Amino acid sequence: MPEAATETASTLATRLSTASVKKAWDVYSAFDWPEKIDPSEWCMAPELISLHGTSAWDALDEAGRRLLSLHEVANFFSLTLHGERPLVQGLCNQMYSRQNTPVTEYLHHFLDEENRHMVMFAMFCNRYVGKVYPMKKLALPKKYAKGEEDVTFFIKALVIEELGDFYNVEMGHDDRLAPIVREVNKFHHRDEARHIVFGRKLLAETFAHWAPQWSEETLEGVRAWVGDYLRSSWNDFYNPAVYRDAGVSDPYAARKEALAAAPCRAHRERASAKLIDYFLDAGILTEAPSL
Amino acid sequence: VPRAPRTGVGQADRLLPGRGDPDRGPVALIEEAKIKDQLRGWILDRTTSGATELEDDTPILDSGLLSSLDVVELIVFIESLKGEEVDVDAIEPESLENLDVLYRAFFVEG
Repeated sequence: MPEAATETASTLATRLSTASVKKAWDVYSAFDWPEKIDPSEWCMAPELISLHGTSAWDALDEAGRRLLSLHEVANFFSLTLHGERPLVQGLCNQMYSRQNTPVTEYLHHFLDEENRHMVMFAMFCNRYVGKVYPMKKLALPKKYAKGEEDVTFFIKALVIEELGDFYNVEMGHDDRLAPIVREVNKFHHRDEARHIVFGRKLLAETFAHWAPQWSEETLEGVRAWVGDYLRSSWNDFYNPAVYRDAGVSDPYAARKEALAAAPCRAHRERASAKLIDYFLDAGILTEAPSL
Repeated sequence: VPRAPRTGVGQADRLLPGRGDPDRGPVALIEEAKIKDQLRGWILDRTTSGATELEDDTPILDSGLLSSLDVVELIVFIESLKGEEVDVDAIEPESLENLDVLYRAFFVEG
């Protein structure tokens, strides 16, 4: 069996901390931000744009599609930023409590890197679309079974990171895109690759520890929630404010159409495939949720 | 961006327009009923609780009709009815207490 398969979160954390030190970068000097992005450049590949395959997309001219690509990438960066906010908060709660020293040491790197990402995304969004798109998520109080809050925390972290990484990898090497867009995606992917490995390990260990202690009802509740959370996370990619800013005539109708359109569903399934495979392998899900 | 008010339920009851308000004309009341019916229809369509009826004062979150993930979509639906964005940072869970409070928070004061 390869060493990585038997490695604990603790030994993995030591290895990742070393890599984080070696690959550290300064967000304030890493980028040569252009004054503006040439409107003739793509900022997201057409096939990744949320309306691709809908009548709203067909109705846009070439300039409109390129403008939409800028707002779409700003929305993607905004929702990643908003996903990282509660992650940072939750990571703080994990430090110096139940976790051992190597894990806590890596959590310091994790936090440091997430903070840099938020700065980087905000710099891009504020510079090129004048704002960070707000998210609609509202935290409501909820009662958890023992360990459930930790498990759902790591699931949320992994969803935001894995979906984001799908886009980062696709965009980081896409020569059609504006160079600054490629750069931001590349930088994010370099750190996120470590975060995902760590997140997967920590989630698998946490789930394996708590799930056997849960009632069947709690376990089924968590599994149903994972599907709901994934669908809800995908819904964030279909942002009416983005469509409005790009001049789409009926933003809410466009969103409704895209969420129901077969090509858009196929895209969501393709982008979620690795993540869902992981959930199935780890026993967190027993069947793939409909997206 | 309009900001939804930060209100508690007790305060909402006191401020609620409509029934018993002599200054409210018939057009405003018809508009209120229309919007509430659209919200009611959306919530009953969305809920997995099996509920088929929803009174104006039925608790929406406490009774488990909607989850916090459903609320995200409810807010987008409210935006589509209003034709403008809602500032989520300004919303307190109390604004989602029931249809009466929702209507007042998002369509009268919001």
